[in-house]
Amino acid sequence: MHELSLVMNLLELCEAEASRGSFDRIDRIVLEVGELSGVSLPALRFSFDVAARGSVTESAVLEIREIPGRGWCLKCEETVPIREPLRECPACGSPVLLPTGGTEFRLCELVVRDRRMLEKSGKGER
Amino acid sequence: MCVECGCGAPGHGVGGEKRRGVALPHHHHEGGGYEGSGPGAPSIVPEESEVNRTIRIEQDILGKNNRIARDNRDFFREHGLFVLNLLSAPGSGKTTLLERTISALGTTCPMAVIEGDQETSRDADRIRKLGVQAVQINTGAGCHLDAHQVAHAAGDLELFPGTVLVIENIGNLVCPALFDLGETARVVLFSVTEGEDKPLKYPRIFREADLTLLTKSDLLPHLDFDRTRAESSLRGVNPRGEIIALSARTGEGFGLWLSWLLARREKAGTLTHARA
Repeated sequence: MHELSLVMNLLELCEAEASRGSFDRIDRIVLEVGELSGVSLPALRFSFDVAARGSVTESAVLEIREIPGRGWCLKCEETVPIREPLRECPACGSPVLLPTGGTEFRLCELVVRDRRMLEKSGKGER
Repeated sequence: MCVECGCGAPGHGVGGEKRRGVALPHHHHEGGGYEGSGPGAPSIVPEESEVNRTIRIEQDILGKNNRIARDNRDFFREHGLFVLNLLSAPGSGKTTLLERTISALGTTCPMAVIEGDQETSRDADRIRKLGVQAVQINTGAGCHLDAHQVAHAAGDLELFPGTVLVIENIGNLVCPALFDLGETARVVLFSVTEGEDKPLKYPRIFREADLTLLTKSDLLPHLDFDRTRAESSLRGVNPRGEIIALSARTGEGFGLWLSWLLARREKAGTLTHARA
């Protein structure tokens, strides 16, 4: 369950953004999570549901963009899909693969809502 | 609560150790956790819609840990320390390995230990009995050590050039693999009472090991453990790492481990630094 610490790091980034920005709440958090990142998505969602309570992220939806694993096969000299790091190339069976994609674990975007903008649009609840 | 920075991070100063010796560079809180930030925070491009706007962040979520780990690594190198991150499943013999290593090296090589466990200071107590400094970090619900905890624990130790600092991580083959602590080398223990295919089941932690120790080798005659199969599983996930089989009980293979440790310490430049 290292996902809980990952979520705490994520919330810290969100809080930091809230403290510098002019928004009141976050509606959507967009993450990129690679297939080879070692992050379990169900555990990540579970941890988020627990940890996001009582903060600017409370009502946010977590949108996860999954990035497929890719590796460079030294023998084929091309990029091939892989499910696990350092496993054999699906084309030639060579075991030497350098992961080139799918190790990401990034916060990409926040979709936020401002009180000022809500008032201006006349759709604000407050 | 962390006294140095008031950061509220868990695990600091557990065991009542007072801060002495060297101070790590103050490593966190700048720029709200942004990579290379300071005033130059990441570029924010608001895309206004009716009530919502999108803020582009593009930040590595582990960026903060990685940045502190880099600071730790710089600090360790500048101070001539050789730092090992010792990883394994619970009960593979990390603390016993350390006890025997400390006894074998005696005064030829100064050592210090950071112990990570969910609860109790039992492991740190075992190390202190041998006259070696040890700081215990209790992570409570946490399943791994992070770079921030290590930075503070290292600040609680008196460290001199040439010291081998061993960080005994939480017994766990999954989570600690993701967290760089700033160590010089990673050593993973794999005891012969575990299955030969363990490296295939937990590839991430074995993949990044500089050295894998096949521990409890004295038990091999009593087990069906196939050493060749175990080593080929390891090679499958980590073709470059070294493997040493040893027993802390009988001392078999221990010479190889001590030679590795001392050679790597020298390679890390700690002895040169100590003489300078």
